[in-house]
Amino acid sequence: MKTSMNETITVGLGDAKRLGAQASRLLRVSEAILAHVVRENAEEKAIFPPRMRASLHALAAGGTPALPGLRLLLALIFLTVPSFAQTTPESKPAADNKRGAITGKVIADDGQPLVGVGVYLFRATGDRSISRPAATDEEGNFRVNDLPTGSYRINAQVNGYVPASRESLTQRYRVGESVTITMIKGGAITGKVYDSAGQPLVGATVNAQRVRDEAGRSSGVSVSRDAMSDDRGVYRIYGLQAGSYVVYTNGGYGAYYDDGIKEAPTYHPASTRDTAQEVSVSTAVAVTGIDIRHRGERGLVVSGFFSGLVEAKTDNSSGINVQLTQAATGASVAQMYVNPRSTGKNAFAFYGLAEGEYELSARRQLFNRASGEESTASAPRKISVKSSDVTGIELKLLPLASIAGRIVLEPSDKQDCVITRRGMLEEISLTLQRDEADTRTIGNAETAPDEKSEFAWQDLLVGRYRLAAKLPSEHWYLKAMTWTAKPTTAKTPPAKPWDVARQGLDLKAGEKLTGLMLTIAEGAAELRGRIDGKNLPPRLRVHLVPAEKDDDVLRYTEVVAKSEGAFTFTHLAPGKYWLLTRFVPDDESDERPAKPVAWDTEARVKLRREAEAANHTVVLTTCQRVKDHTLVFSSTVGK
Amino acid sequence: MTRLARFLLCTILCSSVTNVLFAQTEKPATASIASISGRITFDKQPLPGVTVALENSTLTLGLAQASARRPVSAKTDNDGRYRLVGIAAGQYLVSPRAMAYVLPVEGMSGRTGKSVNIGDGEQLEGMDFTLVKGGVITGKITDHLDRPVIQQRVNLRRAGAQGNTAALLFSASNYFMFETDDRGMYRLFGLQAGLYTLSVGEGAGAGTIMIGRTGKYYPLTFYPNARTEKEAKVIEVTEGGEVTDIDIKLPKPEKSYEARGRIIDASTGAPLVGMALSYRPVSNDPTSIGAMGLTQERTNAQGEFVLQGLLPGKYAATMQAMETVSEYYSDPLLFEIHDNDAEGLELKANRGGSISGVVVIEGATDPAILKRVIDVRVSANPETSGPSMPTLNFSNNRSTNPDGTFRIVGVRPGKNRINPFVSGGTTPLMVGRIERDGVEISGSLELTTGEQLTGIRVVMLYGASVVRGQVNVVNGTLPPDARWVVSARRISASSRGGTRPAQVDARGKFVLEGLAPGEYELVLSPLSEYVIVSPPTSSGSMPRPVRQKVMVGAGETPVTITLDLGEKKEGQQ
Repeated sequence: MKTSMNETITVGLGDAKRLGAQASRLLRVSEAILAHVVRENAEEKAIFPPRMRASLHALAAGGTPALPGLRLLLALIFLTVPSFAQTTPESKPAADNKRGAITGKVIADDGQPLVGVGVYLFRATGDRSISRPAATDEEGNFRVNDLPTGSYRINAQVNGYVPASRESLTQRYRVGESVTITMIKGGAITGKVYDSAGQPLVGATVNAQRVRDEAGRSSGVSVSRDAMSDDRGVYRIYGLQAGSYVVYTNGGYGAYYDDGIKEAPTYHPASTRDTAQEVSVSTAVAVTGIDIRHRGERGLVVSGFFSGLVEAKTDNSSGINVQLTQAATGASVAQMYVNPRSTGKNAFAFYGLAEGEYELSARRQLFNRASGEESTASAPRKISVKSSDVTGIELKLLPLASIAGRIVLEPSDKQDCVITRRGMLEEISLTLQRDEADTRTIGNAETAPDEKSEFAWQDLLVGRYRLAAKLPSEHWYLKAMTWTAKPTTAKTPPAKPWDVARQGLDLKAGEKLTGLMLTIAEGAAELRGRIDGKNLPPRLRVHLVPAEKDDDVLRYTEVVAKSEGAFTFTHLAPGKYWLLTRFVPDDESDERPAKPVAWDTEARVKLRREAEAANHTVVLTTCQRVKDHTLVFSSTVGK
Repeated sequence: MTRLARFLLCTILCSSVTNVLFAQTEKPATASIASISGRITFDKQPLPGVTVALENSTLTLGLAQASARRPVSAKTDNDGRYRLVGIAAGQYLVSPRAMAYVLPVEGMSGRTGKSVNIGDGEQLEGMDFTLVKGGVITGKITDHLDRPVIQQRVNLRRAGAQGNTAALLFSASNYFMFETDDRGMYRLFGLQAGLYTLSVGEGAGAGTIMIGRTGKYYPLTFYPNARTEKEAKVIEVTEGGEVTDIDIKLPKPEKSYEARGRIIDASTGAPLVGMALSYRPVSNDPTSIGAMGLTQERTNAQGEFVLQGLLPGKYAATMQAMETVSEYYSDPLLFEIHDNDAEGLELKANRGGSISGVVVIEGATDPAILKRVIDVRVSANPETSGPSMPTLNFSNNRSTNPDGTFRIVGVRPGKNRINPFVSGGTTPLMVGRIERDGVEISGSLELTTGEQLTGIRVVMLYGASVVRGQVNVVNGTLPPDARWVVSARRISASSRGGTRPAQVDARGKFVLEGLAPGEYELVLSPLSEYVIVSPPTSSGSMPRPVRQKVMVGAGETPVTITLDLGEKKEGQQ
């Protein structure tokens, strides 16, 4: 299941099922192994990573006296909601007074409390992370105590339900806050799958891939869920967000068991992707009769091999995960796992593909960073599949890069501001976005400063990155983002600080970039207002452009105005600005906003020129709260 | 869940999946590629479109090797015929995957099919299967307020089957159908005719653990509304029949509990930071292995931990060093949950000793083989028969360094058994002997408190020899679902001599691969005691294992083992 940038959606049915299937296979083999460990005290033959292996050992050891009627209940100790993100402990003794609780309530859209719901809190700092499960009580309330200071992401998992709004996913909650999460019953798609002879297809995996948001705009963010057809060929996919979906299958159970005989996908009703009929889904409603007549055509193959840093030196449990995604949407098509170290194999293959544009990427994640080794990954590779198999693709695994830095609060002598909410540096949430065609950051895009105000991102791909900070206090703004290259020799003159907002950060393979400096200043201003005019177009974007001589890129800001024209800018540096309104392109989904204009030099210069020409100026002083600024809409605004 | 977490999950789970795929088959295409063909029928009519899968036998291969082989499968044509081609010589299970159809008798752990050992270039024909239509059970699960319970797992068990956890849950081919949909409905299909019980929920004291969950749970409830399996109504499924309205109305969910405490150094009282805890229910039933949980968060600076989602019952918990190398070991902490959270628990850990040495490979000169010492892990397991919670320090079995050296830390004082094992790699290695200061030892070592024991030499043997065997059955015939295994144990002064298992196929053939030359004891024994869902074979008593010694040289050694069914059976006086 794909998620939009910097967001996490709860694990989908698809994932769960896939995991479930794998788990079931795993359990089958582990039963066999256990039988033997118990019986023969044989050499261990598992290729399980150490954690799993250990659990098997435990079970085997515990079961030694119990030969007759061997009873197994393998705990899927890893089917949890783990903060596997290389958790090293919270090593610094945090003073108890810095800890607190987050409380909240999970309700259905009708206001009824949702009882016994799993709620998961998550926060990552550097290479540590905290994840806490909680559950709601009879009134739908939950409480998580003893949380270190910081901002937390909160997911509620209610089977068959989806979040009622996107905000609950992007929102971060500080210790001490109380939160209400509203969930709504997801939609469902159901129908029958048949083979080309009209016989029901049994055990076929049917996928529903979301292609448009509720407003009918291409969502770009691909969410897909799946289900398996039963003995009558009937499937039912549920827990769907509102939007438009395409529904497809790769064939019967055989395809599930062996990718090698996977057939090309057939979309509802009996189509290729180009002519697939979209299914419009609303929450809490089941769409019926979405049948598929599977064409059973041979699928195409994409295969290749790995090069570069393929094997870990010491950790023989870390294999390579290969992902095949749709190039345009990032939707996951297939993934596989290869462990060259334990299997002596160094190749991958994906079957049952339709013609199209794909992207391939490989990643070898280490389980244990303590080994001193590093994770590696290949740069995403575009693959065009047309009428024949694509073979021999090389995925070169390169060391991953990292970024580390510090955040400082610039003291302010102005004490006359009215501050309703004070912040702590640890409550800042920092996100990293790739400034590439595909802006998704693989891995943990979000981090936070630790008690020493240091932050880090690990395991980053080669490429250009941009940073953003979510600030906890309305009194704060981000004043500077600089990076200074370390002099290579003692004689080298000190390098000029690099304006990260202007140029982004270019990471080379394996680069360990340190010394990034973020400066927060106090005295931020706010600008709230409304676009005024007749026949307002449905969606307008308001740009705030610094109207001063030094073109400070960090001060460019843009927001999409609400439907009635209201807009809000917060965390602004005091100073003079121009305001400019532009249309939001029709096909731009709210779920995947366009890259900020300021990222691109040419576009920025153009924007600045336009804003200067429009000459709608606003001057913001320290701590100023402008509440009712009026921006007159002119139908001549640029598209 | 974060994407990373999902990735890791996948990494963990996928790593064990046997259908890892490779475009290139592992052996270059030669004339010696084998094939298997046969026909699948239902009610004397051909069954078209059925996938027939050739599963690698993970029983007999190293899992790594098994997973390295690409799965082979084929679909039956309109005449029900299939042909599996491009098969490397080896040990497999031929398994029809029709889902709605089943074999009349289910094999081990739901692996339905016929085992076969196929030789180089062998063209095996007539591997036919007659399937029957599976039965169906459907119903709806609702909560105490009559609302559907969504995505809830239902457990199906053979009524009267021994072993309370022997649910079909994981053994049936379709894992997914055991979940309710958004209407609370489920549909279990492809079931063998027989008697079943159906249940939902968690059984307090039944050896289950809720994973990654806290708060409420549904207490174990059998159809129609029974709390124990004894009171459950038995559901009869007939061949091709459909049983409907097997509904369960669940009682109010019950509260689960937490256990909080600290891990401290037993001698100094200092907190142990960054440790995980594994915990499991202590069952009164000695044959239950039970589930095990592992904390996600590590102990904080105060050494504090929390275990969540505990059902009432007795538990044992022990310390786990997950990301770090820990020099500590601990005895299990025993505690009981009644109707309250457990507070103030203290798990005391002690500093252990260490064992270090070197792993060497004998029987090969090829540097590529000698390099594979990195595939060998060495662990030290205490021999004391204390409380049954094993210490599972992952640091306790770290990979060997590329130069062959290893060091195990956190070793408990007392008798410890050195246990080398091969994890990963495709190079056939087996344990030869263990030496201390040049003298062969049994592998058992006595450590005093905090002792740093050195000079251990683990000799692994490289072996490419093969035993090709045939089991001849006399004075009787085996039931069709009988499954046998032959294991070869190398006879050596260290009782740690390596073993190799192999399955015996329907034709009585078996192949033991990757053996180092030397003397072995072959043990032929039935696998039926592991059959979880099958009814017992024949009279219920099992034939006695047959033992036979064999000298294995270089290359292939033929062996014949005679199984005399006329002999007294085990369990008979």
